[in-house]
Formats: sequence, C-alpha cells, structure tokens
Amino acid sequence: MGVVDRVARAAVLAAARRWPDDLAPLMREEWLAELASITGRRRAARKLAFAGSLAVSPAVDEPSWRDRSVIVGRGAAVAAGVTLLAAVATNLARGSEALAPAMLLLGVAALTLIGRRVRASIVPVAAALFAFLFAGNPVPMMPFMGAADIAPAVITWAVGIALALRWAASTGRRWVAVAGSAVALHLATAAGSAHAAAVLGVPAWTAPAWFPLALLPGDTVSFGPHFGDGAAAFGGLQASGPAFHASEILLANAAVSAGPMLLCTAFLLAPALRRPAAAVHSTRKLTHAPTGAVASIATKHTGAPRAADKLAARTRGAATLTAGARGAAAPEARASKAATLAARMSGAVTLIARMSGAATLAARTSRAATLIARTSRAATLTARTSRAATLAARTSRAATLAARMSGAVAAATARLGVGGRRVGAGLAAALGALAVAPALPVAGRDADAVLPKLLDNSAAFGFGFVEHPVGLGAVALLAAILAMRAVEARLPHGKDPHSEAPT
Amino acid sequence: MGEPRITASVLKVLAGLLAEPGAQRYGLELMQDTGLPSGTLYPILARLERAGWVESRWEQIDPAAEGRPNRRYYLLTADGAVAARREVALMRQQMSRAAGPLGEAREA
Repeated sequence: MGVVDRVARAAVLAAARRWPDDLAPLMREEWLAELASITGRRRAARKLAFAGSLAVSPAVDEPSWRDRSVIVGRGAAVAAGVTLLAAVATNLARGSEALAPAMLLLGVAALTLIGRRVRASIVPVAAALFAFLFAGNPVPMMPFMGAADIAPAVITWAVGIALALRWAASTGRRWVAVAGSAVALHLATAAGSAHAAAVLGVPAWTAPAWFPLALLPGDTVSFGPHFGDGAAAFGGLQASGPAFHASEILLANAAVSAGPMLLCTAFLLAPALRRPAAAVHSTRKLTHAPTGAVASIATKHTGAPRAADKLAARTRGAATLTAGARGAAAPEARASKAATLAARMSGAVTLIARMSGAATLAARTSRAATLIARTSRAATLTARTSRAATLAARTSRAATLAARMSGAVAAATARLGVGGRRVGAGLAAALGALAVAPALPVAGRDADAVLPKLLDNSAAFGFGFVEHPVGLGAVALLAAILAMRAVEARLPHGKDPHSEAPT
Repeated sequence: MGEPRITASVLKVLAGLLAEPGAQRYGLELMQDTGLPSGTLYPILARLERAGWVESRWEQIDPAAEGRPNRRYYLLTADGAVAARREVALMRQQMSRAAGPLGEAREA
C-alpha cells in the first residue's frame, strides 16, 4: 500500500468515526470499497479528493459549514460586545478612583445579568479579550502590555475558567466554579505580570496580592524597589514625576487586564450559577423556616398550660390548708397551728386575689394589645389601600400611555416590517456607536500625564483603536450586528432560518 | 420519518437516481453524474435513506475473486421515485416561471 492509499484510508477512517454509531461501520466499509475501486488515470488525486472531501465535510447529523460559520460569527460578535462592555465598565471604574471597587462590583452584577440572558463560550471571549488588550494600546504607553504580557494572562485565565466550569459541572457544586474562577484570576494576573515583576525587581512572593491590589486605588500598599528620582521610560518615551515604588507600575499594568478579566468571568460564570441545585437549596430553606416557626408557636402555647397547672396547684394547696383548719378547734396546742394555718390561708387567698387581679390585668392588656394590633392592621391596610389606589391610578395612566405608544410603535413597525425593524435597529446602534465610541476614555499620549495616573492606578486603557477609521467602523458594525440580532431574538416568530438542519 | 429538505444538491442526486430508476448506482457513479463531492453526496444519501426514498444493498460478489471489497449501491424506492419526480417537476416549474418567455423559447 502506497503513501497515498495510506493517507486516503486514514482520512476515510477518521471521517467515518464522526458519523452516528449505527452508520459509522457501514460508511467505513462502503468508502474503503469505493477507494479500492478507484483506478485508472489520476487515481492518486481522485482517491485523495474522495477521502479529503469526506474528512473535512460535516457528517450526516452535524451542522453544515454555513451553519457553523453563522454560529461562530454570532459567538464572536457576542464575545466582542461583552469584552468591549467589560472594558468600558473597567475604564469608568478606574476613572472614579476611590469608588473603583464599588463600580467594579456594579460591573460584575451587570455582566452577570447579561450572562444569564446571552451565552458565549470561553474561547471567543478570550480571543476578543486578547485582541482588545493588544489593539487597545496604539501608543506604547503601558510599559508591560505587549503580547508577551497579555498572552500568558489571557491563556491562563481561559484555561483556568474552563477547568473551573468543567469541575463545577461534574461535581454539581456552584461554589467550585466561583472558587476556581477566583484562583484562575489570581493565576492569570500573576502570569501577565511576571515579566513586569522580573524587570522591576518586585519579589515573586507578593504575587498572590497582585490581583486584589490591582483592583484597588493606587497607594493602598507599596512594595518593591523605590524609584526616588521619579523617572520612568515607557517604550520610547521618557517621563518624570514624583517618586514611586515598582509595585505601583506593576499593579497599574495588571489592573488593565484584571478588570476586564474579572467582568468577563462574571459573564461566563452566570449560566453555571443558575443550577437546579439553587432551587433545591432555597426549597430546603423554605421548608425549614415554617418548621421553626411552628415549633416556636407550639412552645409558646405549651407555656400557657404550664402556668395554669401552677395556679391550680397553688389553689389545691389553699384548699388543703382550709381543710386542715377545720380540725383545729379544741386543743390549745392546735390554736397556734390554726393561727398559722389561718395566716397561710390568708396568704393563699391574697395570692389568689392577686393572681385574679393579674389575670384580669393580663386579660385587659391582651384585649388592649389585640385592639392596638387591629388598629395597626387597619392603619396598614388603609395605607396599603391608599398606595394601591395611587399605584392603580399611575398604572392606569401608564397603561393608557403605553397603549397609545404601542399603537404608534406597532403602526410604525408594521409599516417597516421585520427586515425594516432589523435594519432600523442596526442603523441606530451603528450611529450610536459612532457617536459614543470617540468619547470613550483612552490611554493618554503624554508620558508625563500618564505617569501620575499609573501611580494612582486610574489610567484609562484601550479604545485607542477607535481613533482609527477602521477601528471605529468595526465598533459601529459590531453594535449594528448585536442590535439586529437582539431585534431578531425578540420577534415572536423570529425563528432563524439558518438554525434549521441542513440537508 | 419526515421528508428531507430539498436543496439544489438533493435535487441533483434525485435527478441522477431518476435517470435510470431501477439501476444500481454506486456512490462514485453518482458523484460523477451529479458533480457533487463525496462529503456532500453521502450525507444526502443517508438522509434520503432515512426518509425511505432510497434503499441501499451490498454488491453480491466474491471479493477474493474480484480483487476488491463489496460495494454498496443505492436505488430509489417506489415512494421515493414518486416523491423525486414530484420534487423535480416542481423545481422545473419554478425554474421555467423564473426564466419567463425567454427561458421557454430557449427550451423550445
């Protein structure tokens, strides 16, 4: 068997393995028989064409290349959109200085919500993140943001998140996804900052602190060598400013990738955090709570009979004393006893009287409490009714307004049609992107201005590519694609024709 | 068993099988007749067989005597032949409508 036959045979066997189990052996035998029957002129080329076409073509139940390209394109658009959103949120947070951690948490919450509605896989998000970080710095202002810094960070992050999600899925424990992702973020930050640490002389044992410190404002903690003259070199540019520690440059660089990675992690984790286990857990909580409440109520109710028992016991004691007093008439010796008994009786009677008074008071207090409670409930009810009436009035007004607006919108959209709506949404999004993108914060071009921002960890990064017409056009196109996709997804019968299985 | 989605490639295969309805057609032959590559042809044949339009049989030969393995051949079923004629006729009708008088004149 020649080399061509071996290659063709291997390709056919590989292709057959991708077919469904019930067809794979049949197809393998059929294709091997067809290969053997290819003879005559150009048989080597014909065998390779036959086997190669099978090897690269989708099997019977696999999506076609066209469908695959549509799926990949959509995934890439979502990944790019999420990355840009994460970068905008990070830059806004970094610009808010002391409020940066709170702003980042808001960003995490927002990306988690988006992640619950929209899905994207890790690889396109990682690719978009790398492209953004790499293309977002047209002027080499960030000293350690080359491919040698970004690539290790993004690869470590992607692998770590993938492992965490897979582990969480296999164990069914959501906390594994969160903990694993936190570890991945730490490792990715360390991997992306290793080059900077080596150049700046920052000790490696501080690496576990780089990720959290990168998210905090500058000057929180300083370590590493001290640059007393305040001179720094950014690529080919020189800057001078106040004295600084090496850690401040390292953390400012780490923050640029740590922020978007954190927000993209929230987006990717969101689906994994909505496991059925959550529902089971909350059901357990709900079933435990009523049990506790019932137990508490039961304890309170059992307390009442105990008090009644005590009262009855004391009453029985008084009756016994009364019976004892009857026999204390004749002997003198018994007179004293009778006096004692009478005193005790008197005490018992007083006790009964006091208890009776207390019971009356308790009953009155109870009635007053009931009355107060009823009054309070009535007041609450009145307030609720009033609020409900206000709300109803507002709702009615809003409904009227919505009805009018929806009528107008429906009339307009009916005139536009489905295609018109999609194009309109896309056009509006593209124009919006063209207007907003140039206003996004970008890295400064003046080294002397950037150095202080690096030191207080508030330097904006990225979006330098929107200054170029091609970059701006790409952002506008991305916004248009996402808007059109969103409109398509909201259509009541907007089933995508491309989603059908090809024949 | 649902009906297969009819595309241009599926029509080519159906037309190739209709050319000689009772004939045994091997994959390589159909590739030559239709001009479709193997990666396109075999998934279509598999879908048509699932739909009951096509059936396949193994060639009855002695591999040792022939010096090659048994080949698998395909032929239209009775239902498949009816459905194939219907689909091909429908496509011809649509094409002639799209081509208009110019197309009809050329055909004539």
